[in-house]
Amino acid sequence: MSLESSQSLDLVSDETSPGRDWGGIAGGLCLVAIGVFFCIASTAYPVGHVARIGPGFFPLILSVLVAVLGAVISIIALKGPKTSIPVAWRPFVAIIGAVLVFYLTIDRLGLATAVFLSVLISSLGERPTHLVRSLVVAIACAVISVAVFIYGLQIPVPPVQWNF
Amino acid sequence: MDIYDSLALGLTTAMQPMNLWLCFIGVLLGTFVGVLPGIGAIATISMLLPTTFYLEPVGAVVMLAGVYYGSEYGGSIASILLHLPGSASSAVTCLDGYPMAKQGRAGVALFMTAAASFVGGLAGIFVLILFAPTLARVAFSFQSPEYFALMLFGLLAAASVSSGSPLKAVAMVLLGLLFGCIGTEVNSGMNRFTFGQLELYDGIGLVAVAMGLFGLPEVIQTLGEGTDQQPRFKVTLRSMVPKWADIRQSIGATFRGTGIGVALGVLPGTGGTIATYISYAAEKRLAKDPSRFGNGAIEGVVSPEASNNAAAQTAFVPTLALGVPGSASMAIILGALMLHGIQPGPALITNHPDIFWGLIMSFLLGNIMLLVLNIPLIGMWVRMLHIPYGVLAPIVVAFVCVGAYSADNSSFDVLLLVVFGVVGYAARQFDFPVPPLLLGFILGPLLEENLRRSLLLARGDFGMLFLRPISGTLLVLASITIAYVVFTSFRQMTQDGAVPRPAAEGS
Repeated sequence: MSLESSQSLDLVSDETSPGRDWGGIAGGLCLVAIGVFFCIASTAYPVGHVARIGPGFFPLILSVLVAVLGAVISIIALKGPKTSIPVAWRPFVAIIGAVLVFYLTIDRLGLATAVFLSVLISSLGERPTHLVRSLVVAIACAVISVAVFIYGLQIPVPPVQWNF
Repeated sequence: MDIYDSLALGLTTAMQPMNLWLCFIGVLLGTFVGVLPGIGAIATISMLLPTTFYLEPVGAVVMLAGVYYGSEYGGSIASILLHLPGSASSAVTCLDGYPMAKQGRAGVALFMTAAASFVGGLAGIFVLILFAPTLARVAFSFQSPEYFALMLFGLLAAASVSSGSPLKAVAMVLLGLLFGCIGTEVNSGMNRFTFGQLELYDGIGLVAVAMGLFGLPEVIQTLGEGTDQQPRFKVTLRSMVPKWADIRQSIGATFRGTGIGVALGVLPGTGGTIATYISYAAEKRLAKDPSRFGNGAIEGVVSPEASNNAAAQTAFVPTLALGVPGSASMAIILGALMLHGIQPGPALITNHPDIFWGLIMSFLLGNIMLLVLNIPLIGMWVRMLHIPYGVLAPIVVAFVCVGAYSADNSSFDVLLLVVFGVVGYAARQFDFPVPPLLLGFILGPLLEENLRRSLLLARGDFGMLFLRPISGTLLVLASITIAYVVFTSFRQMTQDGAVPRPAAEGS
């Protein structure tokens, strides 16, 4: 996170650029969706009455508030200061992908394999790929995690397996 | 038990070999992640959560706390040498620290920040010793309505001061509270929002949420920025010796920074980061020659560093005395205690005096260790900065994955990592603050429980909550906070309202 002297530390920006706060719009809409979803889901649980609130009471109120706030935020964002949604796609895919691969392989292929694969995939997130370096790091991580977690902490996962 | 007995108990607890060792590991790790940009204290604390399962409660919290305040020491190193903050609360140190380095005074800057951090930390510990027990005694008369009001106010206050739009922060708090509802509801035994998934019966695992929300997005973002600068300034032990003029200028600044940090650290929501901005601004305003700031004014380096360390220590006052965390990191540390079956709150000091006082004395020992680590061993940290981020990032990812998995031996937790990693990254890019989400998530079940009990007590009469003196005051404060949030959002919408520029990721 690089820092220009006067830039990111302005506690008050001098002017607001006209445009839409896309982040606010997107986030607000997500909140509305989540709120509505949970609101519908909460109706399955009894609300009870005020003196004896049921399991549905709290989530119902919360989900309604979330949805309403989400809508308000989206509307404000229509006029809000201009922001964009910067997405670092390559690192994002690499890292989330790495975790997904870990999820898929840990129970099927063992700890060492899972660590090796996820380290390798996440190193692909770096702009100039250093393949040899990544391989070395991946192997080192696999070895260390087996040492620390299987021998040290005794977690019940085999280092390598074939389990489909 | 009088104060000397307590301190003695604390010292004997803290000096136990295992606790000493864990303290050392904590502060070492803390400095390490503080030095390195791209990994923060909170991500590290969440990654260490699974390892705390195997430890005694005292040791676990000693280590996690060590990471927390240790990172406040290391953060300034990257700020001074690279113009890149190692942690959010060291961002301000870049402003005058880097110019000092360019003037060949990097060593002095590093030395003075370490010294200032030590003074700040010490003062914070002192305040902690003075105030926490008293606060706990006051809180003994707290019942459900008071707790409800306190937590509500704490959440709202944290939201209103977090970076960016307060409205977005409040929304995140609410979302966190909502996520906290997932799982078995204690009173009725009903499974809420589990949709048949067995693994969700106990709620969403804290480890997966914390790591997903804080660890992964930070790595993604830093990888995306592709900064791989190397420090160009030589730092030798001799170059660290300050001139008398430096010391004279720094004394006042250090004490002022300490004062600000101590005060702000106690309040919920405000943490080291905000304290540093305020300290810097105060120094600039009080200086005889404000134009020096931005060009290597040592006060601008020393004051923020003192304040963030002071704030890091006093943040434990509400956490330990009341059981109400003021920031996401504190919430996770509390979570660690809860995982060990220890109920935080005013009773902690009386029921587990060894934990409370042992922790405080470990802070003292930790700060001393940090002083040693940060001055003679500074060369080691500078060398760390040479590690390319492309190597660090995958290691962090591997650690996060294995950590999440090992918490419950469940690959489902890894899937949750994916979900919350996406949520956390999306929130960041949409400019919604993430710490309030975690705060809400951790406090959610407690908030609901206290609400239920209060309403039961009052037989449905909401007004009763306002009539009781303490809860009434807190609720009024909470309402004022809500009004403030609404007001600022309204202003933003109807005119060219100034919007605070988003700062670095909060504590």
